[in-house]
Amino acid sequence: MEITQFIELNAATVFLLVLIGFIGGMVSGFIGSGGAFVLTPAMMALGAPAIVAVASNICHKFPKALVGATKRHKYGQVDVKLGLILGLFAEFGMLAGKYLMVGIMRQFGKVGTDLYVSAIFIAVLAVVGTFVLRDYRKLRNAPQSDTHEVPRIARWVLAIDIPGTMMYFDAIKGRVSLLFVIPIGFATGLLASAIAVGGFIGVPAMIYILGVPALMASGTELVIAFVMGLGGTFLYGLEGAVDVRLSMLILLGSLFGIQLGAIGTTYVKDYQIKLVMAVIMLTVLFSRVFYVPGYLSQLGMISPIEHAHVATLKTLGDSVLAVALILGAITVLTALTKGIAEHRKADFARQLAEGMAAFAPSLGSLETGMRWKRILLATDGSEYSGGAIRVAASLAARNQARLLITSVAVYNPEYATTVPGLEQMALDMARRNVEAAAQSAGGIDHEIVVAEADDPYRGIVDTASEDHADVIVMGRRGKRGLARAMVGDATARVIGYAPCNVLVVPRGAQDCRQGILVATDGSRHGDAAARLAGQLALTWNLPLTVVSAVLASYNEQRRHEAVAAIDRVKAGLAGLPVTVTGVVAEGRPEQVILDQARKAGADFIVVGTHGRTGLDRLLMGSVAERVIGFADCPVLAVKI
Amino acid sequence: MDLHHPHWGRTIFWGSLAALIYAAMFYYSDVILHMAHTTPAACVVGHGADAIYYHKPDAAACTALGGHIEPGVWWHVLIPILLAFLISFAHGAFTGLFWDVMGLKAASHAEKK
Repeated sequence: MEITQFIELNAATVFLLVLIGFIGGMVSGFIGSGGAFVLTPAMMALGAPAIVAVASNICHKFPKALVGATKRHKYGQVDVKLGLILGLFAEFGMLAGKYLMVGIMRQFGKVGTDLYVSAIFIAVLAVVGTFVLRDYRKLRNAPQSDTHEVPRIARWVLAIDIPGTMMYFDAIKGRVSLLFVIPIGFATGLLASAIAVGGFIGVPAMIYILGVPALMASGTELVIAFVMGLGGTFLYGLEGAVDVRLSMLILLGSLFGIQLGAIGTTYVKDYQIKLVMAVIMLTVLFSRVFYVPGYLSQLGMISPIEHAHVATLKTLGDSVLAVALILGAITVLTALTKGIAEHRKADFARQLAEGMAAFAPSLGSLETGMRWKRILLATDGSEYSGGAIRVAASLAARNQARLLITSVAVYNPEYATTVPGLEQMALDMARRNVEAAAQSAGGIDHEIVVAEADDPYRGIVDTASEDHADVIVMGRRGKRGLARAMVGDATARVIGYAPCNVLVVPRGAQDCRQGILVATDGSRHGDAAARLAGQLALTWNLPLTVVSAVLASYNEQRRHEAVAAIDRVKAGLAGLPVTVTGVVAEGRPEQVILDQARKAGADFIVVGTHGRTGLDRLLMGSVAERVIGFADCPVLAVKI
Repeated sequence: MDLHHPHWGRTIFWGSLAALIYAAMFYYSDVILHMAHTTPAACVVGHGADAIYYHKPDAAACTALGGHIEPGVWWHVLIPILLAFLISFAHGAFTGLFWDVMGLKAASHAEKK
């Protein structure tokens, strides 16, 4: 019989586990290497047997990997096929590793697995830590990131053609023999089964052996991590080694920490992150060294060491580990507070300058209507942003507005592993997007804002609110058939959370030149849309069509309400030099709006959306969503 | 802290949900631990939180310790997997919003042309 006891939880251990999770998460969010290399030894230091520490660590990771993989897949940074194949063979590696671990446990007991895990930790951290240190020196001397270049080994691997084993992968845009892919997967799994961090092998191997671009490699690693984590939890769970309380307490702290660490990275230089990473890795390594003599002596591999000495060595090891964690926490928090203070100072200075500029004579004709002063163009660099760029540039010129061009560097350090310059790559890509958009927009006066966020919508919404944008102009992903009724996720969320109105422009659309159509249902959202549409018609000197849709099932009272809604808009614009036509038509609202726009020759539609909080898609309103999805011209989603 | 932040409602919702799941997990921790230990066959000595579990049980040794053998139930392994998904989703949504509501966000890089 063998005993696999879970550690006893009391207030102190619970607090320590959450704290370790928090610091581990913060360090991992900051240096982007999974953090497990801090968590496993920390759990072991609290008394968890190695097998339980590894199993519980794996269990806390896989749902996060799934969320990360799904997100990154949306940005085209994941090769699912490669990830699944590597994941499948990683599973075999994991299985082999688990049998090795269980075998060692049966042969040598808990102390045997402790020695095995510690030895692998020391070896891996020594190699990876040295590489990271080298990266740090390279980055500090030449902080510019290189564009993706296929490494020499990868070029050789990709040139080899072994019939019957070749498979095409999107990530490398070519075929590679599975005989190279399988060992990578296996080794990743084998390592993960021992220390719960397979990415140390998986990511560099994908980059250097298969020639996968770094961003894609770190994204694809998440698929492997998920497959492996799920399988690993299952396998270790069958052995009764997963202590879910431990996993979830670590998760409780780590999710807070990861976000904080990830935010911290945006305030420091890339090489500083590398330095922190190398220092922490080497300190953790150093801490494990203290335990080894004790393990060896217990296993009878060296002459016995006195119990008191083993205990002293263990205390020393625990202290070094604690120092590593505290050092990491202090570094991240210092970087964060310093960075935020500097950022706020710069922001304040900018706002002050803008405030001064407001005293300059106004060029607009505010008295005749309204004018957008700050137009935020959000581009993702794809062809779908073409219409938005055209319309935003034209609107900026027409309104004499300031054009802000933004693209979001989608980057979550939590999921990155030891990839040099990952964040820089995301920033470079975003910068290229905004520069391309600025070039397409012509010589118009503009400002570039490269936002960093883990989700594009968040980056756009934050930029709009920080830069006080009056309107966000963005594209719409082209969809066919029924799927068009659903606006893309990013667009829907921007509309849901933006602090201002959002203009959604289809790919081929032009700026408004012929007429404006506004839909109103008599609600306060419809009224807000109608008010703004009236002001736009006045400013741009264009005819306005006001539409209200009624369904065949509506009774007389509701039909009267529709007419009254139109009359209200007309009354509001009475006496002003704007042509208003009111139409009450029967049919589904979105169909009526689109039909009437065509009939009236309107090339700009204004619709109301619901409030700014709550569930984005539901509150955007299904009519607004369908109109945005199907319209061929720009649609302005008006928020209250 | 921004008291007028649009995400307050959602932050409180996900935070309460996460807290609820955590509370439930600790309330039933004896049951959960028992299930984890009895995923493979185990010799159980003692009861509740004080129970000690031996794997690869040996009938004679187990009886000598005053315990009883419970056959393994493989699907118990799904409990930690389900819990991990649930908590990761709710708590992840909460922490994602938490720092935002607290006013901490990533720096953006602006330049004028």
